[in-house]
Amino acid sequence: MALKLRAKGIKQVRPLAGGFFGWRDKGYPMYLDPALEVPKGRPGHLAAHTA
Amino acid sequence: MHELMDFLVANGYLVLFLWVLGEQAGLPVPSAPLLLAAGALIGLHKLDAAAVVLLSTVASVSADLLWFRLGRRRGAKVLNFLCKVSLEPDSCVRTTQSRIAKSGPRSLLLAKFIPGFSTAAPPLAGAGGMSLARFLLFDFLGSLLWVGSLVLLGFAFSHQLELLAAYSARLGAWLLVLLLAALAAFLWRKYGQRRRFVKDLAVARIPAEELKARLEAGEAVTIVDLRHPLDWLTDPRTLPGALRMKPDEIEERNQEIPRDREVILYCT
Repeated sequence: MALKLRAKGIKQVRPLAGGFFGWRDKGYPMYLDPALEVPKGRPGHLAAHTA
Repeated sequence: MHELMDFLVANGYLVLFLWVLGEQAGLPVPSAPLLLAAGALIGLHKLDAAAVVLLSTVASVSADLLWFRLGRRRGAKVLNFLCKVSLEPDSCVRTTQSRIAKSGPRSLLLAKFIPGFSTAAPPLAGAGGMSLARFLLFDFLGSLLWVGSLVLLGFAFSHQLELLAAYSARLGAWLLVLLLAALAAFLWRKYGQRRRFVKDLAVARIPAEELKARLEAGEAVTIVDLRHPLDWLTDPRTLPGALRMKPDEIEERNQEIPRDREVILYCT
């Protein structure tokens, strides 16, 4: 993706080391968009992972 | 070679079961050649068709069930691990998510025929909340289709195996050396591809600590969340101020990303 964006003219682009989980598991600040539409999944599954 | 064939005939069922189980569990041991050989041995009346198909299918479903349950418990982390150790990591995560999202359980029917997707699909099905009954049904049918096709193909060419056995008897141990060398070359090539891929990824990554410090210092950076919508199931939150964009939207929405500041991308 970084290479794709560089090809689109965005030269200063870096991937985040560790990705989403690397950030979250360090306990760094997170944001929840109230307008987000989450795809349907098994009931309770989401709660188990976000508790 | 005759000794090898005799060994396969004598221990064929156990070897087949363990080999298919190993491949589906994530080991880089392709079981397609073995299933083809088993089909050929059925044609030569050395193995029983029902036992071969049933054992291989059960082995495949057993390994898949293990990954399904791990995916259910640990979410997308399992998929990431699986793709890291697989020999096809470059497209593993993204391709798997796209296919599951597009076709749902039906994607499991043909999953076995697609390298990389085969092992990665069950944990994602688990992480995505697919019911166990639905998973077992489609995974069993997909495994049966995969095993059946290969065995049938081997069966159709069983007479060629007789010829091969005759040639191999003449070549003796050299054929075994040749086959082992070919397998080693295959694994070495895949390992090289994987190392290059990991090296490319390691270039110019920003550590989480540095990004946090820059955000706290009020520096202007644009963060883009490229996680697949299925990943939102496991955690719908984003990094602060992240612009959420589906991976396939990059082409049409890249104009929303400012060019005058550093852009930080992340997925799972």
